[in-house]
Amino acid sequence: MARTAARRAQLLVPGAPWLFLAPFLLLFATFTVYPLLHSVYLSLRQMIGAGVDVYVGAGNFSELLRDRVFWQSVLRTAYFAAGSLLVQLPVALGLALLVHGKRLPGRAFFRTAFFLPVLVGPVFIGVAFKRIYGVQEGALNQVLGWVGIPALDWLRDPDVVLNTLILTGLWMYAGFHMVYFLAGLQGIPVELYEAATVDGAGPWARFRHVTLPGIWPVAAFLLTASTIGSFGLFDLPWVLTERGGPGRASTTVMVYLYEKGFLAGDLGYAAAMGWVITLLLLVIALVQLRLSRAWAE
Amino acid sequence: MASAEPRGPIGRLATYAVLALVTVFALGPFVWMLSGSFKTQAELMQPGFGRLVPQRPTLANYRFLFENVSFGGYLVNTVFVASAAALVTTLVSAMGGFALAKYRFRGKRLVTLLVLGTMLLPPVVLLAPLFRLVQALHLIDSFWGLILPGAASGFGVLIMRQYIMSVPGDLLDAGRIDGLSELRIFWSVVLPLIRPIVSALLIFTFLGAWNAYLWPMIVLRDERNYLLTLAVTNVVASIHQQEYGVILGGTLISIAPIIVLFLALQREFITGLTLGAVKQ
Repeated sequence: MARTAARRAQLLVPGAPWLFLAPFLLLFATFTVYPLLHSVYLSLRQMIGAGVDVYVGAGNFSELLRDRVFWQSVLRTAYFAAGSLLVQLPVALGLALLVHGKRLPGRAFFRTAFFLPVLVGPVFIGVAFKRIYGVQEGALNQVLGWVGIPALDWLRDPDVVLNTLILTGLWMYAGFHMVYFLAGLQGIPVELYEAATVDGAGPWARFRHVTLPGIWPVAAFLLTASTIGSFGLFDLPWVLTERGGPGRASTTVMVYLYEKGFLAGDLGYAAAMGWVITLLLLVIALVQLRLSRAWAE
Repeated sequence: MASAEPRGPIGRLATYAVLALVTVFALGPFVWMLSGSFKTQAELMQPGFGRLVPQRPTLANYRFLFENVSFGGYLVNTVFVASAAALVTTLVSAMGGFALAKYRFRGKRLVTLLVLGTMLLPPVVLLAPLFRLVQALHLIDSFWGLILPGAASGFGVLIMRQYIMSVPGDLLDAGRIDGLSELRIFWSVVLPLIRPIVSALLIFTFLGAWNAYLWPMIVLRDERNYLLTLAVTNVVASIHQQEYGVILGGTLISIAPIIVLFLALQREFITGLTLGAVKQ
């Protein structure tokens, strides 16, 4: 009955779905589909400043393959991505396990406190944290000094800066990933733990055989999402370590793309770079998907 | 739950010790920013964390921001852009999601596939061509150049579609029998029923626009149009590089509205910021 009524109503207003879709389709065609096609066109051209705009065929791509600065920035970004995952995911899981317990007084407070940094834009963090990371005046070196760790030049030592970004990322995103893990933990039936306990499983065995498999889908999702997010890293190295510095020590692919495309003005090269990065991400995501499936077995 | 429940007084003590340490790590920078923004330049020049409560608390940093740097204007710009982006994106997504969830029509599969396909594209591909487009449309230095490019969000349409599918079709038919127009049904039957996902997407978009940096840097040229992110780096931190109190005050004004909103709407925020998991 209801179905026929709906049919009839649709016959009365044949254009209705298209009317509802119109604003989306219009904006989508203009700001996604067209730029996507234009991006292919751009990637085959070279632009130097305002005057020069010439067709170079696959020139940008062969240039990119030989561009050492580009590949170094890819490696740096990959280092940041891998470091962030290795540090953030275990910490976030640990936090989630700590604040998961229903009988833990004050757990709402801790959850809120750990989540608060997620709200702060990386730009604001970059500006404010400069002072915290200062060699002489910084609060971080002061605190580390209390426990006997020697001072580091967090922002100007080329061997340290990428780790500074990873550490800052930990502050920014640990609470974010914690919330995902909490959702994953909630999905594990209590009976599984009870059954495991009855079977004589200790805490470690319960973690290994009940908790880990239970949160595996969440972890796999975070792995891919976080890797893709890491490749978009721009604000933090641009602001905190000043335009990817010192020298090129924190120049990520996005910093390099912005420099080439918008400061040097070669949007063609930037477009080509965008496609190469997309391809790299696709390969990484596929490999991660394969691996996480294999481990889940 | 049984997995990490602390056992006995020692386990409980250890748990709280770790939690306290992490709380200091998470909240320390906020406390430091807040206290620093009320300190004089002389006190801020002292090394280290400094005193928690300023020696001689001053409002000079804030006064400077509003009187000499016109921070109020940047705040207004940001509130406008973030609100408009949130409203437009959410409305466009809800309408599109409604069409895909509740109507059967030719071309529906094609539209759905198109949306899904482009969702997987990382935004970096679009950066250069989008700039050319915004230039051609004369949207450089216009707030619409910030609001419109992100308004057609494939991701937004998909989560709306998913959520609206759970709205019973009988309710819509009841509305039709009562003589409501399709637009009326969307507005007064569907929208109220999907309020949780509406507020989640509003918050998700609002926060994204509030904290955005790279795209506003590309689109905005005139200093008077700056958003807080640009103002904090290009006006405050570059011109008043050594005045930490002003920098900290500016940062604090920029993040305080978000934190107040969060404390008032915690549940909606958590849903909004973890929307990514809906794809699962």
